[in-house]
Formats: sequence, structure tokens, C-alpha cells
Amino acid sequence: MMQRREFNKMLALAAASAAVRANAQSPARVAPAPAGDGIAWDKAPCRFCGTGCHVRVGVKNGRVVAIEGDQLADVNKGLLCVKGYHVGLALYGKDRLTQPLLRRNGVLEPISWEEAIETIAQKVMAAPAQFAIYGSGQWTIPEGYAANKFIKGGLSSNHIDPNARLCMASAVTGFLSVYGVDEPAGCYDDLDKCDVLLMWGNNMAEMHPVLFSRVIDRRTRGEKVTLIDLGTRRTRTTEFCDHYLEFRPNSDLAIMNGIAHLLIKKNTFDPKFVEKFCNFRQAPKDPAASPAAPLLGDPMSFAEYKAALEPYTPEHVEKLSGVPAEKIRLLGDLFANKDIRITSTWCMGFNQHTRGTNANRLCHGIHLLSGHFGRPGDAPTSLTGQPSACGTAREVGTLCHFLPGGRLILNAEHRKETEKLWNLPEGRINPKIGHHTVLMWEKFCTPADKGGDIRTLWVQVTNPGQSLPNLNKLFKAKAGQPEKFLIVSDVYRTATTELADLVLPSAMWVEKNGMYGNSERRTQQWFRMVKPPGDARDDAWQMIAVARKLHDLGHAGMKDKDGRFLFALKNDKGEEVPVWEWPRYYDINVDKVLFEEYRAFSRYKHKDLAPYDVYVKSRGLRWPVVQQPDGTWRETKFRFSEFDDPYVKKGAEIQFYHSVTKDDKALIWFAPAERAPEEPDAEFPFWLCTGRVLEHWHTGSMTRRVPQLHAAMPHAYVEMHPEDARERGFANGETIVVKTRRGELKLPVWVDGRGHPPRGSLFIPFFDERLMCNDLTIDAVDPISKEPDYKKCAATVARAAATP
Amino acid sequence: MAMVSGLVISTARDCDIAAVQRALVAREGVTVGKAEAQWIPVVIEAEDDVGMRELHDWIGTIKGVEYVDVAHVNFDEDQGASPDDHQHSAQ
Ligand code: SF4
Repeated sequence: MMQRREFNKMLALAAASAAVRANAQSPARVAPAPAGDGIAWDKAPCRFCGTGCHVRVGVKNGRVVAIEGDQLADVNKGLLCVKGYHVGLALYGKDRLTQPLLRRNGVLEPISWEEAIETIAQKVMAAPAQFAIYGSGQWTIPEGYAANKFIKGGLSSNHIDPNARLCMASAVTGFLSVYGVDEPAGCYDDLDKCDVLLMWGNNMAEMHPVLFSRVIDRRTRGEKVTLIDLGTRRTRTTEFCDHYLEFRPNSDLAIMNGIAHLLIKKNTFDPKFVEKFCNFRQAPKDPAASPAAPLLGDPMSFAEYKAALEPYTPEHVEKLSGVPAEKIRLLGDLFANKDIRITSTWCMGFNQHTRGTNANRLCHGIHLLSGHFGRPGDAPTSLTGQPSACGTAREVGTLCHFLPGGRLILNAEHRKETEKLWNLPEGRINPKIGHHTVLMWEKFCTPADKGGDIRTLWVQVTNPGQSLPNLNKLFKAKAGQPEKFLIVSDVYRTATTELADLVLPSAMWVEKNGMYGNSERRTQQWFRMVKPPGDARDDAWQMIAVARKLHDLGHAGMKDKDGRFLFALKNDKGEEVPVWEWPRYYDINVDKVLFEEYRAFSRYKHKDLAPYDVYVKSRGLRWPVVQQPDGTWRETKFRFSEFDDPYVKKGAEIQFYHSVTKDDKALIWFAPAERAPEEPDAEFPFWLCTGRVLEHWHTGSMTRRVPQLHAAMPHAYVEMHPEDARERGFANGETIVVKTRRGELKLPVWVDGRGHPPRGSLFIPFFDERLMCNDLTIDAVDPISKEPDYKKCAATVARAAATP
Repeated sequence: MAMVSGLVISTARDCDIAAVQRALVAREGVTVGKAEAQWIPVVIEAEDDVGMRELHDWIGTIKGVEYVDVAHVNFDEDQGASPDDHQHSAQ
């Protein structure tokens, strides 16, 4: 009989060989895993980043025992990164939460689910307007939809926001203010077709490694693709790039203005494209004129646009950014060349800044101005950090100003449509937008008598106790305020459960049914494959159970206009199933029922979704997914382009059919270069930047419990330039103190480590719950997107021994 | 504790792929599959994390190897134990 190890080797070789054939584009692409050994295989998207790779999950005896890249998945073609291939182990940390815990006399004590649900319902009932939900881009689509409907449709409150506010909000406001509709026009296929890839503050080799590998493979195949890294520190990505343009923090706006300046000065922009498809915009004179004013801006003529760009000569941009003038000219020449295709990618490098919206706008602007738009490989494309930041936070609309499908709280018509789709009485949805993330936590941490109007806060699928900026102000200040009640649904104890009053154990990933939407508009589905440990339960069930308890307690909002419970879900025979009773929850596929209800919202902004069963058979489909005359469902790779997008009028070539200006044109914005909210000075002479590492996913609450990943990157550190370290006498690995105006942190210094910050710059990753860099970060937000700036503040360093 | 991973090795276009294959075959714990174009599938096996990481890193140092991707991982049931240094686990 074949030994277990031999069998495992055979599986591994089959998967690797299949991936090789996929890379070599050999027709024999699919290599089914050898049968036997009792392993059952099924598909799921990876639990971690927004790339949205598909994995094949091997299950034996009720436990995930093997993971491999899914050769049928277009995203990753059988490959995974180091996190992805350990995703199965994230389920099996030995300290999984397995029962509800209530804090009594300062100690978390086990309680029953009945008591937990009753406790939440009583808290909400006591002050519904002072209750808030803080969710996540890791919520599945049905989970986010249930939470959204519960609070906006049931409680008539919009105090719900996802952690996507901390990562993608500036991309959203960028897309909305340029195209009138969120999310990228292109997709990952652009990476296969571009001649030049510009990565704007985007360490793709570590943060979206499978996408980066896809580009590197093109080179291996002999294709020519020029890689340009624009950043504030050298990273692993830089090593693979043809050009590295290091700029002073906050000066990327100047660089993009410099490119636009050259395109106009040399008359190398695309006048036909601009004339046919674009209008010009600038910041409004009165941003407070209406809530939408900052998004809509003020019109400007081409002549005004040209005049505004006049100062941004290559030499002036060099002065502002530190990037040599000839490199600015190189970028200008690339955009001037119509014979090549240029793709720009970005992620937190643009978004997590106080001028994140403007950075997004200007990047779209240089693509539009030069006509590098609308052909495969010619695209400005944002990447997301979380697996369903797009699917759940943006499309389902779990942000405090959104309703599902791209509708807005402030729009009376949108509220009416939503009420109709949810069968609610007219006027049920509150017309006032809720608290965005930073405000929500500020209000929660502020005593009620000082204006803190959030009393009870329910966190699901995220770890704000580590990921919020300026933690001392926005999270830790909750301590010692007994009237504030924090509920946390999670799979492990975290920095957030540290201050929780009630902890709910959740099912994760393949312990439940799920759907995600990745960075390229791809909606993905999976089924539950193993049971959660102990008494852990699905997040959507938790929400529905509380809604039902409120219904039973007589909360009128929990009924629709016909008196039916908001989550009265039916089976195929039309019979209602009491899914709020846990033993009955899996009597029907709750995900399918909720998704089919949500799907009705998707058409308004042409984000059409296919029926649930279509996703069951696919490795995800990119919306709009439109039914063909033969009954099949076709995805759309390139939006707004006639050759692929079914919603573009025949003969239009390009049509921005959700145009802000209602004339099918996109907006090219002008935005000046600006100073950062806090810059280095004599007291705090360093720039401090924070971010992620390859091995850990965000706050590390899952990946730090995977032995292999933990061993590969065991603790946080501060990267520093060797000269800066030498001047201060710091030895590599020595523990030093990093201090800002908000806090201080002791951690080891890493000189010539994985990343290489320039002189006067520091970098600290945020994955380590023992060394939380967000004690140091600033809580200044982008005025339009309300996204905080994690990428720069002023800091100082000292020997650890020199401080008490 | 046996650990097994399936890797995909991308080699440089101008490299001597046969030399890369020879180097791989000579190393204990590496099984080499059939190469196609510039890519070589391999299986690496080791007794623990450290051994796996050593092998993985060593492959990256072979002349001509550009990139190493992972296609498959298999873990035995006793590997689920997570590290003990979670500040918030014990309370
Ligand atoms: S790149 Fe992202 S989605 Fe793909 S395997 Fe890695 S963590 Fe998972």
C-alpha cells in the first residue's frame, strides 16, 4: 500500500506540474488531484488578501488537511503565495474561541448563546440610536448584507461602517468622482497585456504576490514588460523593477501633475480622447455647499486646467518630490507614447493618505488625458487588501453613507427604492448618514455627557483594537467607561477582545458558506466544508438571531410593512424556516436566499450579478454578468469599452454611462500638491510609515497562529537607513524607542532588512499585537473619503536604555 | 512531522535549465518533475519548518532561478498547534 508520505508527494507533484503546464500555456491545464486516501476536495477563494486566488481545499475526517492552488482559477492559475498555502492552518490555532464570554467583574466568563443574544438585544432595545456596527471587508457578501439590512432597514440607523474605510475609502471616492461609479474599469488581464506596469506605492511582490508572479512569468516567457516602482522606500518589488523612483512622502501628487504638465506642454496628450470622453474638474470653492460638493467639484475649462498645471515643470517637481527631472520626463514620454499600453496599480500607497482621494483622481486623470484607457493593458487599477472589500463593503454598501448596489443614503429616491426592495414602510430608512469609522470610535470612546453618542458597538470579523490609528485615543480610551458596551465576534482573542464586554465565537472561512468579491469585480462562492469548533457560529446567524430577539421583544423595525420578520427566509417549497434557531440555520442555504434578495439591487449601477447557482459552478465571475440569448451568463472584463461591455452603446467606443456630468464623460481633476498633516521637524525628525509584510495578513490574528508563518516573521521591527542607525550608534537588532506625539513603542531596529527606507524615514509593520505601531500613528483623515493617514507622521528615535 | 510542498520554479530565459535541474536532483529532499518551457515543478519534503525553509531558500540561490511559487501544501494533523506568544490568549 502506498505510504501516506508518498501519496502526499504525488499530490504535490501533480499540483506543481499542473501549474507549470498552465504557465507554459500547455493545453493539458487541469490535473485532478489523485484520488484516494479519503480526501474530499472542494473549491474556495483564499481567506486572506483581495487578490482573490482560488484554492482547492482537501478535507478528511472533518478537518482541512491539504491546500493547493486551483488550476481552474484564472486569477492564480494553480499558484498561491506563502499565506495562501497555509490558509487551512489558520483554522486550527489551539486557542480558537468556542463559547460566548461575558465580562463580569473584569473577567470574561462563559455564558450560553441564549444569554448572549438576549444581552445584545437588551442593549440595542435600550438605546437603538446609540448602537453601531463595525464590520469588515472580510464579511462575506451575505453577512454584510444581513448586517446592513438589520441596522439600516430595521433600526433606522446608519451607524455602520466597515474597516474598508481604513483601506479602500479613497479609492471609492476616486472612482465615484471620476466615473460616477465605483470600482475599476479593467481587471487582472491588464497585467497580462501591458507594456509598462507602474506600481504607485504598491509593493505588489509582497502584498499581492500571486499577481506579481503573473507579471514576472511574462518576462520568463520572453515578453517585454517594463516595471516601474514609485515609492518612498525600496521593497522586494523594487528588486524586480527596471526603474525605481523614490519620492518624498506626500509628493506623488506633484509627480502626476508633472506628467500632465508635460503631456500638455509637449502637446502629446490625446486631444480626441479628451474631447470625446472627458470634462475637467477642480475642488469646489465651497466644499460645505452640499454633502456631495467635494465629490462633484467645480467645472474648469481646459485652459484653466492647463494654467493650473503650469508650475509643475520637471525641475519644480524634482524640488517637491526628490525625483530627478529626467525621470519625470521619462514618465511623461511613456504616457505620450500611444503605441504602448500602460497599467497603473495602487493600494494603500495612494489610499491611506489625507489626500488619498486626490491621488486616486490624478492617477485616473493622467490615463484619461493621455488616452491610456479602455484597451486591455491600458488601465488605472486599484488593488484591495481584503478578500471582500469590493464585494461586501463597496457593492453591498456597508459604509455609513451607502445603500446596497451603489445607492446613497442622502438620495431620497435611493432610499425609496431600497425600502421597496426590502418591503419596508416609506420613510423607514434614516436620511442622515451614520458615523464613519474614525468618528464612530471617537464617539464610542467619548463619555456620553461629553457628546459620545455611541453606547453599544458590535464588531464583526475585524480587529480595530490593533488596526485603528492613534489607538490611545480611538480604542484604549474605552477602558474605564462602564456605560460603553463592546461586543466582538471573532475566531481568536485579539487586541479588540481585550476590552470587549461580550465575546462571540465565530465560524470562519470554510466552516460556513460564503461569497466574496475580489479586486477585479469577481464574485466568488464556496460551501461549508468542515464544522466550526465548539459552539462557534456563523456571523450572519448571530445578526439574524439578535434581529429575531428584538422582533420578539416588540421592536417595530424588525417587521416589514406587511408585519413579516425582516429575515423571514423560505425554503424551495415556500415554507418559512426559523433560521434564527441555530439547529435550523443550515436547513436552507441562507447565503443563497440572502444573495438572491441582494442581487435585485445590483442592476441600478450596472453591477449585475448572476444567480447564486451560476457562481457555484464557476471560479468567480466579474460583473456586470449579463445573461445571453442562449441562457448562459457572460462576465465583463473591460467596463466602459464597447468591445466588451454590453452596456456601452453601439458605435460609442467608450461610454462612461454613469458619468457625474450626465454626458457619458469622465472627469479629469486638477489637485495641487499639498503638505502632509504632520511633517518631520526638529523634535520629531523622521517620517514614519506603517504597512504589511508578506507572511502576515493584516493584524496577524490568523497568520501569527500558523507556526510556519510565525516562524518566518516572528515579531515586528523598525526599518531604518544604515547611516541613520550608525549616526545614533544603533546596532542591528538592538531594541530602540520610536516615539511620536501620540505614543511610544520599543522594538528592534532592522538595518538593511527586507525593506530599505531612505535616510530620515522609518517603517514599522502592523501585524504584531505585542508591538502595535498604531499607538504611534495619526488619526488625521482625508476630508472626502474620511480614510486615515497610516503612511506618514513625524517620529523620533532613541536608545531604549536612554528613556525611563 | 513530515512536511511536503509542491513548488513551481521559474528560471531565467537565458539560463541553462538542465544545470538547474541537475542541482535540484542532487539535493536530498527534492523531487523534480517534468519541466515545460522555463518552469520546473518540484516537490520538497522535510521533517520540520526549518528544513522546509532551508530548502526553499536554497532553491532561490541556484544560478538561473528567478522566482519560486508554491502550488500545494500538505500538513499533517499534528501541525495545528499555534505559537504560544499571543498576548491576549491567556487572559
Ligand atoms: S495572493 Fe492573496 S489571495 Fe492569493 S494566496 Fe496569497 S494571500 Fe491568498
